Amino acid sequence: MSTQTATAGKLHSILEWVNKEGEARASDRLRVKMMPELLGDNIHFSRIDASTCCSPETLTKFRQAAEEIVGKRCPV
Amino acid sequence: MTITIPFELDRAHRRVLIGGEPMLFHCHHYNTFLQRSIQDASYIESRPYLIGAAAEVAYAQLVRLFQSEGADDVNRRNELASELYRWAGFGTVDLSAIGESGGRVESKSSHYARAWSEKFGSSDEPVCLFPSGWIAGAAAAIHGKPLGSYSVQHTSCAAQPGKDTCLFEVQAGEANYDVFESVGAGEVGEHEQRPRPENNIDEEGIYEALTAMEIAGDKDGIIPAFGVYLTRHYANYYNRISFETLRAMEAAFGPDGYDATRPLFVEAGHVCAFNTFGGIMTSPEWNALIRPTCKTDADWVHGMVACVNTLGWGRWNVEELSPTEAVFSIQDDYESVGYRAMYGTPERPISFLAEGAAAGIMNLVYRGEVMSSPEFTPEYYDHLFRQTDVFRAEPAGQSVAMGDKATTIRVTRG
Repeated sequence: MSTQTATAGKLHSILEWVNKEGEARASDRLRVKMMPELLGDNIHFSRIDASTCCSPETLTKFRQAAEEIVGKRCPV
Repeated sequence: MTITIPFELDRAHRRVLIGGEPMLFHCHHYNTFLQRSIQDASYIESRPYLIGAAAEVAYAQLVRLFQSEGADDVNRRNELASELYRWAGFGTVDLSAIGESGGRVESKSSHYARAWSEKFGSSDEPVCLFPSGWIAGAAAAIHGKPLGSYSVQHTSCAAQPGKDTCLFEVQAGEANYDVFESVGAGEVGEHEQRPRPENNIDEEGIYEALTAMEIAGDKDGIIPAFGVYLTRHYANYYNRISFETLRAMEAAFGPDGYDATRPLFVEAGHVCAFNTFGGIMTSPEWNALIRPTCKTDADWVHGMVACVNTLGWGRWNVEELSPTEAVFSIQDDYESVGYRAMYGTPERPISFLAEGAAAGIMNLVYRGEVMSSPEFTPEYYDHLFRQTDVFRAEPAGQSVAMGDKATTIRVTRG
């Protein structure tokens, strides 16, 4: 299993967590924060779903950004 | 010494000019939300224009004011500039510490630091970027130098843990921020009456009554009103920082940059409507002046729009209105006027604040039953703006920025 495949669905799960736990438009903040990394992985934010894979570096940054926005530890 | 701020009420275009700069009301929720949204794009170097835009407006305004008021000596200029800053609700600042070569400026009271702390909690980094630029621009104007003649370092901020004062080190020399030339008042259109459904609101009477109210900073330079801290801020500051961000995002990511930025700027409008409009519609002033004339829910919308016309945002109107839909039109909306003056004609409408604010009015009246004086809690915010059947706004075909006579916004439910 490649490192990209190992991340399958993680972005989606984190995004769902942000939508549930964050304030209104929290996911839009996440989108803005992560634009360069997602572009680098050829991922369009609005098309993130349960099958979306990314690099481990992007996943780490995505999780960090999500935690910063929500103000809690992300369980994903 | 009593200093009166020279204040030009431009009734036809529903705005206020001071020293040639259009100034308007916005609350601390909007100010901090907008700044945070811009700084969320940390890969965009926004700090130089967040500071530079403030230097731009302060310099342009003060140079004109000093001239019109005959303020020829440094002491008189310091007094006038400090008083303007306090009056506008930005806090207090002692500019007398700045000599020709610079100096250290203390601010014991700062709108931005207070606002950030109350809204988001303390900050690891100094947050008073507007004050930083304003002080640098003021220093140049006071000492008769060109804009960009002073650098500024914001070395300590009351929003940081354990701090209660903001400090700014000002030094003569090359600017460490972007230097822009202010576009001043911009170009406005000829006022003409737009269609309006029959209603019971005395728009002109409300305009005269509310613009006659003295809304100014207290001794600490803070304007607590309608449950928020208001500022009489600079249209050209908001426009510069918003559109520099938008253009940088578009340059970096193409249309995706626009699509990513727009929702946050519209959300800033929701935040503004929820807090400031909600505060106005539940205020003693509303209850005394406007509520007695409200016979229908639609009157609440028209009444709030009449209030918006006193904020300096241009001339707002509701052209079509039902419990499920509305079309707002705005002549000389400040976002469009500023964009055209700064950058020319955009490819798409750019009146984001107006879109969010228009949707906010409809949500407050038709979903939020603001007439029952609800508590303005996070849960109430989610109810108004986060459910699937909330009112949302979109451009309705006309944009002052794109050359039309009015900006139109359609607000629909669901």
